[in-house]
Amino acid sequence: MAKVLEVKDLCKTYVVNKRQNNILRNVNFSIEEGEMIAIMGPSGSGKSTLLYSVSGMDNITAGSIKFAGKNMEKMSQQELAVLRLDEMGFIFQQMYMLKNLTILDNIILPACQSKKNNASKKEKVNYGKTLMKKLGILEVADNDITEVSGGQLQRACICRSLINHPKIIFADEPTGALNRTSSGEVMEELRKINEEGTTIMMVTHDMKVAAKCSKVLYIVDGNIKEEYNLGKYEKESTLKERERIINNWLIEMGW
Amino acid sequence: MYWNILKKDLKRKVTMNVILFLFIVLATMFVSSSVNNIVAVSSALEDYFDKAKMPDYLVATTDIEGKQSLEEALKEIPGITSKKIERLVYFSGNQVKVNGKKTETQGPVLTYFENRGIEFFDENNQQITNVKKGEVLLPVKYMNNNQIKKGDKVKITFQDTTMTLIVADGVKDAVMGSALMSMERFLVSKADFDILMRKPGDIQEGELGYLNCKDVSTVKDALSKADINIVFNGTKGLIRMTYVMDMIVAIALLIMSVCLILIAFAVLRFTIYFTLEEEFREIGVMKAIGLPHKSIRGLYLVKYFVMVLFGAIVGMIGGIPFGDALLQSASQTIVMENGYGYGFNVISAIFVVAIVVWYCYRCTGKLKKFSPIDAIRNGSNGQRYQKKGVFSLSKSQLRPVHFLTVNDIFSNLKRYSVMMVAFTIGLLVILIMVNTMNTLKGSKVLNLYGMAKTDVFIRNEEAGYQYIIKEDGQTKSRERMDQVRNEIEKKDMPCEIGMEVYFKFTYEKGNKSYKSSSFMGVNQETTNYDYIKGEAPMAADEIAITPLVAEEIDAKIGDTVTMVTAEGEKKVLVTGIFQTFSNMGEGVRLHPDLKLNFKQAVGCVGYQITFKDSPNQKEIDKRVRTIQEMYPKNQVYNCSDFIDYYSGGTHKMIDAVRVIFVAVSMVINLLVVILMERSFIAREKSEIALLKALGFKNSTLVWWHTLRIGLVMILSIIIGEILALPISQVTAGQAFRMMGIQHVDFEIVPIEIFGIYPGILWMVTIIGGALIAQFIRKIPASEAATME
Repeated sequence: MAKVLEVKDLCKTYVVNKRQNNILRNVNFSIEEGEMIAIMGPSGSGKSTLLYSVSGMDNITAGSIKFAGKNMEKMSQQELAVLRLDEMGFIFQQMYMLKNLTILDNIILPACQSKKNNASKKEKVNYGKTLMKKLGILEVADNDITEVSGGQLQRACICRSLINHPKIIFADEPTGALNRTSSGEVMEELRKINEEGTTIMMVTHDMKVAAKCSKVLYIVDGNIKEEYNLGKYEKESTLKERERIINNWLIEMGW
Repeated sequence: MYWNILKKDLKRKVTMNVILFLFIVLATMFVSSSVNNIVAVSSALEDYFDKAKMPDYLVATTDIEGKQSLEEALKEIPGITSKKIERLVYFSGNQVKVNGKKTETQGPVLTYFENRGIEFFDENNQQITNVKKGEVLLPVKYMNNNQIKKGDKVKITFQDTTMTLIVADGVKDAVMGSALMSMERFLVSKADFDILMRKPGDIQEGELGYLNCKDVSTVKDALSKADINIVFNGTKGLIRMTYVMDMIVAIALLIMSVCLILIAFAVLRFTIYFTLEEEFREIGVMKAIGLPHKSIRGLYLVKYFVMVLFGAIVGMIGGIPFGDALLQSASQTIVMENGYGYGFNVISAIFVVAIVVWYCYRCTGKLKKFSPIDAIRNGSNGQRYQKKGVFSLSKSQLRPVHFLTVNDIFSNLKRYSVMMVAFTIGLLVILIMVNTMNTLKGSKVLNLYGMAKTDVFIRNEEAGYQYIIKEDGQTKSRERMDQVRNEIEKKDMPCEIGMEVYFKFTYEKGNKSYKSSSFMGVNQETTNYDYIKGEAPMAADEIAITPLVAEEIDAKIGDTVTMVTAEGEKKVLVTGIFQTFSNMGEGVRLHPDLKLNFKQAVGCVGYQITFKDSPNQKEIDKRVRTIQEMYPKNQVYNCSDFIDYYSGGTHKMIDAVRVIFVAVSMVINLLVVILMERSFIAREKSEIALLKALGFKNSTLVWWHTLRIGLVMILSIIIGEILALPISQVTAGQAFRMMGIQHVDFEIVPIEIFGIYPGILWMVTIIGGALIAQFIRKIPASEAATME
């Protein structure tokens, strides 16, 4: 399998009031195509910073990030923006969308901005609708963002993250603001997307969510302490066992 | 506690508070300086008139054989409590040279000091007590226009007598000193006057009567029936009105101040609402812990009161030198002493504070709408189904950034309304001013001065006395004009030549009578002038009158009125109504075929040349130079320069006002853009971060925000352009109505109205918007993760 993301000696430092805070310290890991990995760790350990650093949303202090063979640390802000638009998808904990646009418009907005392929506007709209249908929210396409439930909104955010056929999706606690039912539905959708070949890297606190991933990285004080290879999640029946394994592993890690 | 909250707030919203503060400073500065200026000039005028012993009524005549003298006529008029009569000599600018050079004059008259009917003052506001032999006192405006200084040598020639006099000082003349008064009085000693007048001959003499009366209208009526040749007559009020140009900048600034206060209101409303919406949590918590509504409102009012108070103090202090600069031009012609103080600056500042704080009080009423629940539910009250977007990206053909621009504005029109109101007012102020200025400077204004549209003017004072103001002037002037036309046509300039001659005749209908200025366009078609009702007079026994004359003698179109001239009474038919600035709307248009003794004429402007081959302005200016070479003794003008000369050289003042207005509007737009764009960025931080996270480039997002400002400005320009003419009619039109013009047809210069001024404002606004939008670059994409 080819590596989608390869991170070497990644450091991220903030200077606040002349005090240096090392948020990430020599982080090394890689993600292969089609993997779905979870990043876990205590609050303030640097999970989200890692996610935003490797996705080019945040600057890094040192190290290298290779995305699909391209060195991201050498790219300008403009090039990084194009890379995010064309090759990456994002899902946040808060299902944030533009207020003045309908759900469908929000979903197709990155596609309309992208010059990745020569698809017509109509084709982009149709693909948006196809994604919505797949995630079961087509009926809210013309709704305003205030007219749908949290679960529907997060599924719309997933559609938006998929609209430009990304190589990877970065998800920051995608189920963090959802109830148990919606959370389960959203995770199921992400799993299906992963099954179809899209690589996913997500930050989560939820063991149920992590249990559906193939690999879990445990981060403490800005460093990846250990990673656990769970193998591909295939059956619902194995979920409880995977959860137990992760739980035990996390206790070992000091969770 | 209030102080701590205020300090914290001032630190937190620096840009917003600074801009609000600047608006208050500007508004106070303009209000205080312009009010102070208007009050100072008005009250100074009263004091000046008192000191100068300005009478209730003035009447100037020219001597005509067979007519009564003013002295004789006044004997028969009852109700005059006191009178003084001054001998005047009307002369031409060609009879004067200063330091060997010809000067620009406007209706010069010569009189001697001992004969004075009012008091005169020197440039230091000291009353003049005598004029020494060998010296001359010159009008301040004449000295300024010709760069004459004390000690210069003035050579005056009457008949064969030439006398060189030394300029002793400038003189402030209450009657003839204003910019709009087209007479300039030269004061000499009686000894010198007698020497200059010793050879009787072709000298146009006259009298100026200063009358105090029990009832001005009775005296006015009686004078209109008297057998005298009146050149000018008017009340003290009319003379006061001629000083309006000394206040014009202040009046314009006062209008600007009102606009600034309106914009400050809009900005204030936006700022208060923005602050309250941003602080819903604090307000909710304060309400939750039981703070009463009044106390919470007090917190905000104290903040705005302190800000407005400081802004008003700074504005008031800034308004003092600004106001003094404004008064400088007025103090050249008016006796103004330092007795008026700055009381009105203080009163104006208090007014601004009061009105703005009252408005803040109203705006903070919105606090009632916030509840403790707001703090708990994060500003959401659970209400859904608030459809906002009006357009659909999926159905639109626009690119995303263009779509977002249009959709944002039309989905939140209320949010952009403050900006639109401010931009529209700023543009309107400029357009109204430009329309007014262009009308006052443009060729259309000639008609309002009672003249036909003309390419070139030759001011021929010499010819005036040699050929026109004579018994046979009507014939002689035509002959002379034919001669001049032939001379000009020989130089390959095919033309028509005419001339406007002014008279004062009495018109009667029933028991009503009125002495009105009357205009005859010799060699001009009466159809060359505009009429607001009816037709042009087409025969010698037809006239057109102004609404004022119609009202005075109760006449309308189709009526026959009696016209009293030196030749006797004539029945004339009123065929039309026209309007004029002359004597605040007084005038009668005569047909050129009407036979008159031109000795009764009170003046003429000069030859008016209209080229038959319709040359462009460049060619006209070239021809002006050629004609000037042909007639070196006369002054030759193109239309625009002539209007400037005729309106007392007010074009420079008009241009200065225009520059001030454009500059202030640009500052307003910039301040509004800074304020609004900064607050938009603050409010849309999450959306910006999200779009960045999704892969939108910084430059795309800056362009999106800049385009929004540009589009709002375009919408404001459209609204401003639509409203400009009707609002010009309501505002500037009112000023024209005061001057006797019922309906003004504004001179619209399309390149300025639709191009230059909106273009300048648009450019300034969009550049300001683009610069402020650069703050977008500072928002990291990772903020998308921390948004609420």
